[in-house]
Amino acid sequence: MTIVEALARLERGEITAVELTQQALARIDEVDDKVAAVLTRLDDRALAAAAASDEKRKNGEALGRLEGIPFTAKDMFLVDGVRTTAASKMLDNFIAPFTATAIKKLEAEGAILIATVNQDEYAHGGSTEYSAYGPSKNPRDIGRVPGGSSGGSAAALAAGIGLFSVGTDTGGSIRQPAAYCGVVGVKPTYGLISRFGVVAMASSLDVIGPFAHTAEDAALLTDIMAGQDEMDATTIKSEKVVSDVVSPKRVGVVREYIQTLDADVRVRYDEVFAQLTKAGWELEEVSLPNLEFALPCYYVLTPSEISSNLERYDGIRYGSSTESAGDLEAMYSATRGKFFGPEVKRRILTGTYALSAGYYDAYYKKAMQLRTLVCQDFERAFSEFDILIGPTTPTEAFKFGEHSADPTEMYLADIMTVAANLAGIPAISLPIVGVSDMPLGLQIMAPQKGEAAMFGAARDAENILQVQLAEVKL
Amino acid sequence: MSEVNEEIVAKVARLARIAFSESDAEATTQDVGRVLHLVDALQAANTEGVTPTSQVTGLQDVLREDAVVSSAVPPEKLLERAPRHEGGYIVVKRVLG
Repeated sequence: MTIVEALARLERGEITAVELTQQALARIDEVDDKVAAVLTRLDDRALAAAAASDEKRKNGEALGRLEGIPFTAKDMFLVDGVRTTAASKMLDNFIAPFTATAIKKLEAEGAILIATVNQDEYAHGGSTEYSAYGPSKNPRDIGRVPGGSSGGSAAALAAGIGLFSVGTDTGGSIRQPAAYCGVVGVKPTYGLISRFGVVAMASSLDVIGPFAHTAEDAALLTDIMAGQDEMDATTIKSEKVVSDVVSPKRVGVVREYIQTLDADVRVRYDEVFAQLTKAGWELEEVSLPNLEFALPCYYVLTPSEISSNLERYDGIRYGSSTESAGDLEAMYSATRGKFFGPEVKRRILTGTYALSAGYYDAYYKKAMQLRTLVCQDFERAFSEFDILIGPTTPTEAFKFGEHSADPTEMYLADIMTVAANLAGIPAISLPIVGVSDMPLGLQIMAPQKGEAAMFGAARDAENILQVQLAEVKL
Repeated sequence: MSEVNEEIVAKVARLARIAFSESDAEATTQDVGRVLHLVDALQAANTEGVTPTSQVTGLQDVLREDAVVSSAVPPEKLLERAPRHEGGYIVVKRVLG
């Protein structure tokens, strides 16, 4: 069920917010032993909010734009009084002292948070295999990963737990799991949505975005969360976000993304491109030559920013802490050594190395220069095209353990998503039919603040493609 | 560029305040080496004279009025999240010898 459909049913009195919430919670009972998407259930909080929402509706009070709609949130979002772990043992017992702006805005519109969901630890990863609480499973094939880092969000939604979810995307962490699980995922323009109250990963790249079943639902959610926040100085003035169905005029197909696809995957995208062309989209291949450097650029900048951002976990002010012999420094090292997982440590060490004396110019400065070249490639492309399209990922969801031996193999799953983060532009992943019964993603990118064009085109693409994915059987 | 050894990784780990055991040193060094090998592809790019990009919003000097605003979160609520606290203070190990 989409948000739009649920709102109509609530409006007609066919269902109540309490019933919708009970259904979502019952679905956790029913399937989460297989999917393992949920970290913390919020039954009492959710049912109380749902009852209050029904009361408001009954009394004819003003209703929010998401009145009575149950949702889940990645465990990166602080919610006052709720355990927020970022899927790390470092925050195993951390109870948030305030609520993230994005969650406040959703709740102010009547949405009902039913649970926090799994992710890779501190959002470092692409499969949820790096969660300190164990991996989530892909509801379409529990032998495969749901993707990540916001894998719990995508898995929950695809499994029917809640009607939308919110996640974070630093290099593809919303779009990649959306593609793997067959749902819509949005990475908005950098700065569009406040990050106040959200656990930081790499601050020059991190954005918040929604998971939903349709582009229309996702646009509504993006619109609600958007806006300047005095608690986040990087937020920008939002422009028009939602859009009617709009057929894009000039559409660039990113050559660097399609030319690397395996033949059987390429066939699927060629079919999609043919359908869009038949419906009147004018597709033309475009080259963004510096995309070749986007992934290495990302894997310098991200660990560097992580090494700085995660300094705050020192065992002193909040989070886990260990008693150790020796001085204060020994306590820091013991705490961080004990409670950070292996991928988090790898990233902190790599970032510390890249930023250390003697290596800064060769790595960090070089990566910042490449970032300029990637941004310029996009500027050139958007001077010719309204939107750019391509795959979200090179493959369908991979199997558990497939990329465990060499951690950098996992990084390649981000190869088609990181560039949008480097350039700060919006991008959406729409589900399409994959090679097997698993889905793939069609990625649509627009210039900064081009959300309206992106959502307009995405809605048009949905109408044209009429994608029917195999039913989720759990 | 990507030549790291256990000694370098141990030094970086000290800088990052992360304790790890001798038994992890070899695997950690290998993993960090793999990441550096991946990112060494950057060295092939010509970036001469290119201005580095550190942020993409175009925002500059986001200021607010210099007025005292009290926190919405009471200090006690933050303090009680500290692993060790006493009498309104966070307890830490001795800093000066």
